[in-house]
Amino acid sequence: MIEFLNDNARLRLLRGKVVQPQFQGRPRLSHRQFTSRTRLLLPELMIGALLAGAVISFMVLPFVASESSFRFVRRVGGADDAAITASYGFTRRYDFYIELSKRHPDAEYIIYPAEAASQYLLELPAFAKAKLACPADEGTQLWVQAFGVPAPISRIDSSFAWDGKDRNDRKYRIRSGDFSNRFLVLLGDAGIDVIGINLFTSPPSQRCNDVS
Amino acid sequence: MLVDVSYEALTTFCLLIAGLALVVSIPLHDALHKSVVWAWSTAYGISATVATFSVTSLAGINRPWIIFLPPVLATSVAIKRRGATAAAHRIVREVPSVLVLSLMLTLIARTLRLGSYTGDSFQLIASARALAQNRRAGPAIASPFNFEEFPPGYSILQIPAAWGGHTANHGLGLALALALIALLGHALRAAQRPTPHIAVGAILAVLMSSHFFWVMTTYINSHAVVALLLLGTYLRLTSTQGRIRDELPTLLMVASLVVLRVENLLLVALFLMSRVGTGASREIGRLRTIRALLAAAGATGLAHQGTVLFFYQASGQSPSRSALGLFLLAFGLILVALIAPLLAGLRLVPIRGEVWVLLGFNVVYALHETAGFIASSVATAQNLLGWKGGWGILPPLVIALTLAVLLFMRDPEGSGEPQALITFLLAAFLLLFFTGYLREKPFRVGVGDSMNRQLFHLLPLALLAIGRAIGQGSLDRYRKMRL
Repeated sequence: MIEFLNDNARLRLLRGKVVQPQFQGRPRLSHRQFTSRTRLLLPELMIGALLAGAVISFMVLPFVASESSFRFVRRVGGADDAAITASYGFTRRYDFYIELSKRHPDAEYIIYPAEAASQYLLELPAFAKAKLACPADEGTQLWVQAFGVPAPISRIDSSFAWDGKDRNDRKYRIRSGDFSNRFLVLLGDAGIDVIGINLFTSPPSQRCNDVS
Repeated sequence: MLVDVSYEALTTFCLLIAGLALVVSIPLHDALHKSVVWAWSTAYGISATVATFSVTSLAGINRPWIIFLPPVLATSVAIKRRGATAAAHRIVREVPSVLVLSLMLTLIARTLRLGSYTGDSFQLIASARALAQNRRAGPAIASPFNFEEFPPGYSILQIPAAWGGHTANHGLGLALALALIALLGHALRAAQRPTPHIAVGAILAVLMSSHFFWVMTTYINSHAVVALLLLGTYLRLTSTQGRIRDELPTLLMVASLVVLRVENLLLVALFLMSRVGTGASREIGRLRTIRALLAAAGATGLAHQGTVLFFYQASGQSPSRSALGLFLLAFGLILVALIAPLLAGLRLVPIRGEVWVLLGFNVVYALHETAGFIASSVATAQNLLGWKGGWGILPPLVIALTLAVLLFMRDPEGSGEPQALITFLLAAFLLLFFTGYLREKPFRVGVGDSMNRQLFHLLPLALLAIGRAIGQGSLDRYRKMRL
């Protein structure tokens, strides 16, 4: 059991009786008296703080949500993607795409299907076949390097094997056994902040077909 | 669309029915309100699903019909414990409700597009796909390092989604959110000294008004699952009569926790060891339960970390220090399970001593890697107090109130709760912070920071401690004394 004060003092307070004689009519309380009174009402003070906290929390919720880098609606794959793109707008994703194209004018980046790519998902289904000339056997590594991406770049495809990452320089090493499948590059909050992305085989010193 | 929804809802339905059967198997749950039954069903169902799919994945069985296996197995447990008639009556009676709930969860999650992703989410989903197809080439299981960093617990939960062609089961996130709210609210009211209604309402309002709460529960990652199972394990340990035969769901919850996140073996070890040292463990029955849980955590840890070490050996790499350390820790937990009566009897586990030990670890962190320690401290402070972590005002409020309980409330009868819970939370915070040293990379500013996300695991327990302290000290109980 937890006690905040002794129970008799509390009971007397609730009966409306004098709790401590020295409390009456005295403008100044000693530190001990103040502490005792505070302890007596601590649970109620905590409830008050929680209620106030809940009100403030609801009020600041839109601000917190807008500031957060996490957002809902990140369904990937399937028929839902078109609606997601619409909800985020084409502009930001399109800027991102333009930047990529400028940096890699001869790269055959295909966003497929164009309306199905959200700002978080860039699908390059034909990239590997079209651009990687060197043998893409099991164990071949692909490095993805992004510049100016505020959130970590990531990638996914169940046919690719992941093999380590370094968030600091945003390089990702990927082992692959099948480059013929589509290749997905996932970007965190990419938006217009992305200034470029490099894709090249690894190790960098033995690049056989840099696309950058 | 209809087929998609029906399959996703079916997986949620099977999970909830499995959990419901385990709820039915325990007499203590008989009189619970339906919302609380669903909350426990979610927690138990997740544990049963993780356990069953772990075995089937290891056995290489990858057929969609396996989603029916957890409910079938759990129902057989219920029938054995309660008798066929009683168990069947209770489960069949709830089937329409669970069916409607599963459909609603799926439809709401799809309509509102609830689900948030990061790179880690896709690692986990890719692992789920690989496991669903019985392949060993998914990103998270391609190398020992990644199998170690991403234990398969959450991916196992998403295997049915992969079978159904979905990215993930998003209805599960909503189920987790509702389960956390219901279980926390119930735990506050079910205490020996119930928290006043207004305080329960305020606590739940604070929780639900946090953007971070909804992000974490709908996030395709294991955080909400860990938070729910940790809360569930604590509630079972502090409310049951210590009958070991009623603890199958608790054993499953602890085992699932170990394979959900790499840090969880440390967290579970700290949690259970701290219970050995509290007054609660001195009751023989409860100590027996804690020993069983220690053994379950140790055995699961040995199995998982043993697999990690096997992967390292098979790939010709030298095992990481953390994998070896966790393997030894798992072995140590089994050892502690064997000698726990000796420890509790001789009080060799000092009550609240873990805080000082972990404080010492962090001092070592500060001295040995000062720059990293400072960077981690600044990042964590900015995430929690500087609005960078996406929490809103929740962290300062919770920290202030838990400190108020710890500093100003007295515990003359030495029951140990909720002070013991807050002490555990403090120790857990120090432990999670120390993992910044173990992983050799400081924490960073941002919602997605590992430390920031893991603190969500402790949030329900912190709110529970605050609420119970209010209940124990509230003026309400004096008013009811008919002065």
